[in-house]
Amino acid sequence: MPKKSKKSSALTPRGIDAEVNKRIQEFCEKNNCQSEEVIDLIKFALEPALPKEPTDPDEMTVAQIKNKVAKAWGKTNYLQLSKDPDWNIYHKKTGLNGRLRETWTSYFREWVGFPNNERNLKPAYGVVNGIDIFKNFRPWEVFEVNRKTATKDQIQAAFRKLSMKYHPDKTPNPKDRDVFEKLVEMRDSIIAVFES
Amino acid sequence: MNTKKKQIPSKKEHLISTDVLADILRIKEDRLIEICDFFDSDPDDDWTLEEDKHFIFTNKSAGIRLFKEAGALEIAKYVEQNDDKKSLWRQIVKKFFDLRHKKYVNSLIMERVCEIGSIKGSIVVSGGRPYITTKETRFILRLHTRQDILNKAFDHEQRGEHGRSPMRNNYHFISLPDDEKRRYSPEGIKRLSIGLQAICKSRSTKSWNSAVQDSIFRSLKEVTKQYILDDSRLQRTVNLAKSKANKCCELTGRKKTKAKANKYFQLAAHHLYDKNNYPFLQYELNNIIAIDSILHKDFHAWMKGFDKSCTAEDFLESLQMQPDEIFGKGEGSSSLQVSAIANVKRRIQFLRPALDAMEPVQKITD
Repeated sequence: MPKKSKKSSALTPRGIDAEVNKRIQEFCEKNNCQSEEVIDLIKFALEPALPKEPTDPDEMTVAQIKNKVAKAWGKTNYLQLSKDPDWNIYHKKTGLNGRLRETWTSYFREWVGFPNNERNLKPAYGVVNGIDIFKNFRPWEVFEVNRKTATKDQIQAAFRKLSMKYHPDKTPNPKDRDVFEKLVEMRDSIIAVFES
Repeated sequence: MNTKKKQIPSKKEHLISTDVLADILRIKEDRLIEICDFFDSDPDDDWTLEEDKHFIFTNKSAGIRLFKEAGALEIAKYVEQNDDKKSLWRQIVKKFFDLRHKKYVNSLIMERVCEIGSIKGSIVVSGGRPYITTKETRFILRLHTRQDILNKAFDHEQRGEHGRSPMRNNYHFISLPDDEKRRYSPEGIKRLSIGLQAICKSRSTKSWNSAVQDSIFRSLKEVTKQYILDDSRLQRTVNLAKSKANKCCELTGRKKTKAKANKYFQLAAHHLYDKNNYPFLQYELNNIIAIDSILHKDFHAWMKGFDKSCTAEDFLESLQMQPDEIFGKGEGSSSLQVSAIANVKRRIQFLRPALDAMEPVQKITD
């Protein structure tokens, strides 16, 4: 007689059978809620969880980063991207070495998104409000203003607040001049939205 | 006598080369040639390719042919039936027409970009990057007078939750005090085309902007390369101008020799119309005159500095006002002066059409 696998039967979910349905109805009547919503929630809970796709370049291989950049550029994969004459003109203009991981990480920052692990950094040179402004051009996050609702005055006020700290006249550190210049560039870039 | 006239394909017909067709059908080029041989082997079977109807020969002895649409479809059918690939037919037809449409749209974009190259003041160079006026940017993006849509696309790129970093001042766009509106670099136009694809619902706008996104860099590179300083190209042109003058000063006829007087002679290449304000003439041989480096320095000192703008007319004036300093007082100096003036005037005549077509391009120093 074949042996029953105890392990597999113990892990198999019973699903939404008549017994479960009855209990759902009772629960909904008691708590005054819709049975469909509860069934949807249970179904979602029973679905096998998909493996999480890495979102930060640090968790990816260089090939994965390249493919992400390719998709953001409008190509299906890196092979297509490398053959694209426009990409080659752009890449040549940047003067970056395509064999380095850092190059592809910087393309990722510009074209794909703001890596999660590069937010809320500890205070260091070039880090303003938790963001390394020399690596990431993210003015809305640096000025801590809402990108959808911020007004010109709010952006100016946020810039003035930071310039009190980084203005060459206010700081003894000559390196902070570069930080200030970057902040000016960020302000000018987003304030252009208000000038049609 | 064979009186059958060979059909010349009409201009509207699309011809496809073997390698392109192999790519469309996702088969190897050798396999395609094999299929063609099979088609040619038995004219009485179901599979045949007729010359002029399905293809034309570009080189009959080598068997090189260009396929017409009908021929391409015949081969596609054969591949579908024999190579046993699921739903290949649909893929083929889709890719076939996509490819044709994309190329057609790309050629229209290139035409538009070429047009802006001849519009006065449409291009400004800053930090080695060309910037195009808003009006011409709208023209490339096929927005006509809809500045509001361009602003929306800009707003989308600056504020949107798409993940890309916002467009940067002095990189993607530039605001000049003389201009009412922003100017955009090729990178900026690419970003605007991406933004337009996101905000516009019309399929034709999306398709146009997708094509702009794909080809804007190479199109603009061709148009703006004359404005961008290319050191190696300039050096080659300068060397060519010096060789053309037989390594002699074109004003005085002096040359580097072992004689004591000419031992330290150095030849300089002078741009009659300076390369900063007239970049479209910087690689033009007629604009470069080979002269003694001392005379070159003297001329720019007379113009009050190397950084000051100069023209061929200024150079001509200096030849007329300072004959003794340039040509000396000896015999034959007046004939040297006459030939030098004639030389410069002849060059001006050659350069005049280009000068009339273009106005000095504004160059902003960072």
